[in-house]
Amino acid sequence: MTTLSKDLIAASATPIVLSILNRGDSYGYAIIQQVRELSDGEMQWADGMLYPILHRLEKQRLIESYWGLAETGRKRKYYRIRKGGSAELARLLDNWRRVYAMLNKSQGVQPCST
Amino acid sequence: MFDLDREVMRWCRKTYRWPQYRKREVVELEDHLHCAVAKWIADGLSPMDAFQRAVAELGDIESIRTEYRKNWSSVSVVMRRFAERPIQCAGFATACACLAWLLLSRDAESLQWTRSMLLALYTIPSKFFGAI
Repeated sequence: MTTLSKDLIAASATPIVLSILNRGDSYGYAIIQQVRELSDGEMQWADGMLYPILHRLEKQRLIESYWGLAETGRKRKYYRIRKGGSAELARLLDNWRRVYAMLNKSQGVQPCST
Repeated sequence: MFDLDREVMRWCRKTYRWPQYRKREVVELEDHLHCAVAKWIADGLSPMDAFQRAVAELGDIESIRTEYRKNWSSVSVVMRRFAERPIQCAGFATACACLAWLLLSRDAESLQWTRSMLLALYTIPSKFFGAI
């Protein structure tokens, strides 16, 4: 199977990060690990690219951050989704579903009802 | 002996230097590297190899810097540039002030003074620090 294109990875970054944070608060490294698990290793992000995305989402007030402590006692920055972020996630998921349904229709496949 | 904590701190502070990057951004990156290094050490790598692997996984530094820059507002860009090269920027700001004053006053004495000031501002810093 071919790897996902860079454009697709970039376009899906925001909904993926928001989806992960929608499950609960998290921090950079853990988010990257969750992306790897969810995609079965197909989505290969350069780890460093996540942080500018998180900061952009924070600036757009879709998520917020707070400082906590890691098990080792080091300072750690955690992120949590805001109300606006949940609404944006719902909007993005709807967009992706519509694109998916359209592609299925164009291939003569009945879209999944769930 | 390889001092992991020191290497992580040194790499982060060198790559994400103040004033372009805030301390909180560096601390976040340090935490990330520590997590990644711990994972690779648990997988059996030596601390030095684990550190190099973690740094490689971060990706191309220039691309990451470009992504960071996209988040900066134009005011923030100016402030960060100013903090990065304060002498050149202060010279540039003074030159702008002189020109503005020249345009507003227009008498012979001011013209002479402004001319000398601009000449000094251009020649002295450019000799020591290069052109702005």
